[in-house]
Amino acid sequence: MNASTPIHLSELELDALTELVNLGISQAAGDLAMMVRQEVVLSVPRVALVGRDEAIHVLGGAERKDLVAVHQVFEGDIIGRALLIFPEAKSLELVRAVVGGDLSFEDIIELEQEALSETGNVILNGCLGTIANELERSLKISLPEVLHGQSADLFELDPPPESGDTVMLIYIHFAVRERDIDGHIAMLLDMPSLAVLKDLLTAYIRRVAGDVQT
Amino acid sequence: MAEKDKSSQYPVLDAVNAGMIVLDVDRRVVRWNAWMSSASGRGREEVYGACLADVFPDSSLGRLDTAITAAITRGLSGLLTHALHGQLLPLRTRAGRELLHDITVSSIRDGSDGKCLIHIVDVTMAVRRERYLRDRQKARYDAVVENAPDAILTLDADGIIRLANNATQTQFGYDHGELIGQPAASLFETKELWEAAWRCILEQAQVPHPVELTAMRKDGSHGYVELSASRWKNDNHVHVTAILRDAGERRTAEMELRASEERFRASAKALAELNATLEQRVIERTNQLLEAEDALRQSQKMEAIGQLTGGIAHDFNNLLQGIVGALNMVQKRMTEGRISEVERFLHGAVSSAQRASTLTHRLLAFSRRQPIDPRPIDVNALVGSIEELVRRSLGEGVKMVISGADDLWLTRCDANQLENAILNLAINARDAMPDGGTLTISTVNASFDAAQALMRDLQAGDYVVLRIHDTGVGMPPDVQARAFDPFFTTKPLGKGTGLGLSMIYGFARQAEGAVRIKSEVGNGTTIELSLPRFDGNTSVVFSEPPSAAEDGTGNNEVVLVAEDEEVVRLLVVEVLNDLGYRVLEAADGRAALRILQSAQKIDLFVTDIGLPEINGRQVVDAAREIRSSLKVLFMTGYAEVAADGQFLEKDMELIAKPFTMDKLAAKIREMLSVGA
Amino acid sequence: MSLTILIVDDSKLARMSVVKSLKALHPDWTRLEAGNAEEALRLTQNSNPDIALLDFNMPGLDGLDLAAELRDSHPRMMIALISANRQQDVVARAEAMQASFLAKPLTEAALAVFLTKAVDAREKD
Repeated sequence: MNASTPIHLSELELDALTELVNLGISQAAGDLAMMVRQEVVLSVPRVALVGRDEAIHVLGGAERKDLVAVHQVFEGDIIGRALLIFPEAKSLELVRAVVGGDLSFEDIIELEQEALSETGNVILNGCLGTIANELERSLKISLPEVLHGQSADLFELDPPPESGDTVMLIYIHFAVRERDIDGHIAMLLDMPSLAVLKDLLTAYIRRVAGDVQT
Repeated sequence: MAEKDKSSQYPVLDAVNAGMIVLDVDRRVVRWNAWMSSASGRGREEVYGACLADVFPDSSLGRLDTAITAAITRGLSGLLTHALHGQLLPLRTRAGRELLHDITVSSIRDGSDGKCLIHIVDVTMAVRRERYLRDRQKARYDAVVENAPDAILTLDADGIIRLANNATQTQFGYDHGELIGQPAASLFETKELWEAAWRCILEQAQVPHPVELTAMRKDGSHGYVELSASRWKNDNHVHVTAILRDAGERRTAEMELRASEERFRASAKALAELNATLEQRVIERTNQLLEAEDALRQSQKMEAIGQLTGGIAHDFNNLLQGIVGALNMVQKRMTEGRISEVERFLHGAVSSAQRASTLTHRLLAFSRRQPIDPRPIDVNALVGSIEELVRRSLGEGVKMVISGADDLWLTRCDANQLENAILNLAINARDAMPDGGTLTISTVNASFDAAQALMRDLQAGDYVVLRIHDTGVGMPPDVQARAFDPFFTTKPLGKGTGLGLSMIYGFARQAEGAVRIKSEVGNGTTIELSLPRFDGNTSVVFSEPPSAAEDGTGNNEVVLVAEDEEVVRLLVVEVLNDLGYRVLEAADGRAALRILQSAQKIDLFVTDIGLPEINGRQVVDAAREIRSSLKVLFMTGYAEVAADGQFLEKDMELIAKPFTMDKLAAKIREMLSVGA
Repeated sequence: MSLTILIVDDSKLARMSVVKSLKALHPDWTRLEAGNAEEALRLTQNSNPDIALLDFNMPGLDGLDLAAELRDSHPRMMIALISANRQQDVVARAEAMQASFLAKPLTEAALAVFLTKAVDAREKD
């Protein structure tokens, strides 16, 4: 847990969040597998709540890495953005993994935007949808948009999130058609939403584990 | 985040992933879906009842307004693409980025509350991708084309330059952009060649071989280029890519070669002309030069003698000293009455006198002016006979070692010339050892195979090799290379004529041998003189059968040989005899002419040009008055005349001295086999 | 009959969730908990659980590897693999070692089905 984050989650709340992400990513992997009709081998995702600066740094801010992201906005009891982020170089790997076949570089480029869009959409929806479901909330999720830039750019999107400084950073790693894809999902929530999330987690824990000391 | 529209009155419209605006007959907004709210940042409540101009006050909506009017009043549909209009409306994506869009404006038939539908589609992704692909293509193209050393042009179907790479600018001296829009023809001097090539490209889609063209630069200067080109189609447009490779270097080389050939031909022509009109002077000069050559040879001897004089005088002094001293003693003893001791001194005096006499004879023999008289020679014996002379000329500091091989083969050459050569070499060696050293004279038999012979510029066979080695300062490679050149000398003025080695070279070649230098600065010098073995046969010079004689026997043709130099005449006669021809000889022009004016059948006249009294050319002119088709072979010692055949008439040929007997035989056979 | 059941999951919440269900279904059973495979193996050295519920996605030895180990030492243990990861090969591997596969989130009903099967099997011994 990052001391600089304004939101404070207890150990159990963090555990709960981790479980939710686990469920969400597993669902996403399953959906992806169905979409590409190939096995998707998933590694355990890692979840952390970090400050925005740290998020920028983790995503290669110092090396000024070029990134590609699929961006969706969600609205409901919680409002925020979700970004599925890959290094630029990896994005084509993902496209190749998803599209299959031996395509030329030109073909891949032509398909890249759409393929990333759709794939990102499946992953983010699988993840967000499951989490929302478990928290017994409905979210309105926007259609995907592909963005290119460095990590600093991705966290300075307009209109700015009022989230202050908290980012939920999820590291995911999966393999499709023997290609290793690893990237991040970053969720930026605004301030009121973070408080709502905490409440939702409490309710979830109670539902799942009964009345417990949190 | 966009303002949330609280309730969705038209759920279908709000679910559509595109902008949907409906305007009434007064152009006011009656429908505005969620996509529009999000993309424009203006909520439904805000815009209902307003005109687009009010909603988007900062946009220039001219074209859109026109399309709306057309839809409302005439039921027409309109399309506005981002390609032509850039950003029509100030729309943003969910991530706040610029939203590139296409707009369609359509009429709603029988629409109760709406008359015009505006449909807005996000094309950002497609545009970005195309731009990316285009950039990448351009980058790839540029990487190759812009960095290519050859000029690469893209032309349209009319031959106008559309693209020109960096190399084109530099090669032709134009600035970037100056060439665009210009006809490619303007780059070439040879317009017709370009036109022909252009037609070829259009008809056959390429030029089959590179075409050489003269290029014209901006500053008017010329260059040479090789053109290759191909035609291709893109989107139904015909393009031609032309590559112009600089052929300058090759051209320059060719031109230089041609120029030098021109010069050569010109000078050859000039020489021939000079020759034709200055025959007589040439002949005169020939004679003069022959005399000069003789004189020089003589002076060479004189110089060698001059070198000797110091030592010899010293020796003479000693000998005289010996004689005078002895006679003095005789006088003294006689005065003293000791007669018995006198005999001893008298012997001494006589001995000294005899030695002096020998020395004198040697000197006389050496200075005698004798014609070249090749004889079988035992080199060891010859070396022995001049050993003393050599020793004396070496002086005190230089040690002499003579090492003669046993059973040394005989060779055939002029003895005087050989002596002269050895003496000269000994003096050179002495001069190379100012601080003393050792001079070694050695002889050895050697059989050279084809390779070894080639290295020495000889025919394969047996040779007697005479080596003169000194432990002196040695010669650097540049001096070695020029050592045999006439008048080349490293000795100070007055100390050397520079002719010694060149004469030795000439002597060696005439004897069918060769001389070569092996030297290293600081490590001494060896002069190696190889002379062919003489084994007593008349066809002495060859150790393998002459390659020119194919069928060996002539058809008993008659050849007249006119040559005043005995040895050359003898050799030529021998060659002809070998080849099976009947040979008649003449030692001068008059004798030759007498024979030619007789009824004697003569098939070939071989003559030296430089004959005494009447020269070879004059003999031939006179002879040709009676024998108009007489075949003539001129022998001459002067290379300039030999370079050009201008002054030769039909059935006249030239062979330049020194020539090998092989060459002579081949020439003669050639002349006698043609039209025989 | 009162059985002993081993619950292995790195998520405390997940374990609590299972415990909650178990309390409802079989309150008399003995419950053993472990947060990872090593802990689980240590526990089973001195005890002999009848049933094991193993989370698949765990740091260190994953659920399937743990299942293999347990099979060796406790051949008659009833094993179920629990995972949100419904991948083919995971399911297949589970079945290959006669373990059941239960999907996360684990509903009480699904758990009940599995436990009934386990009890039946036990009773047959």
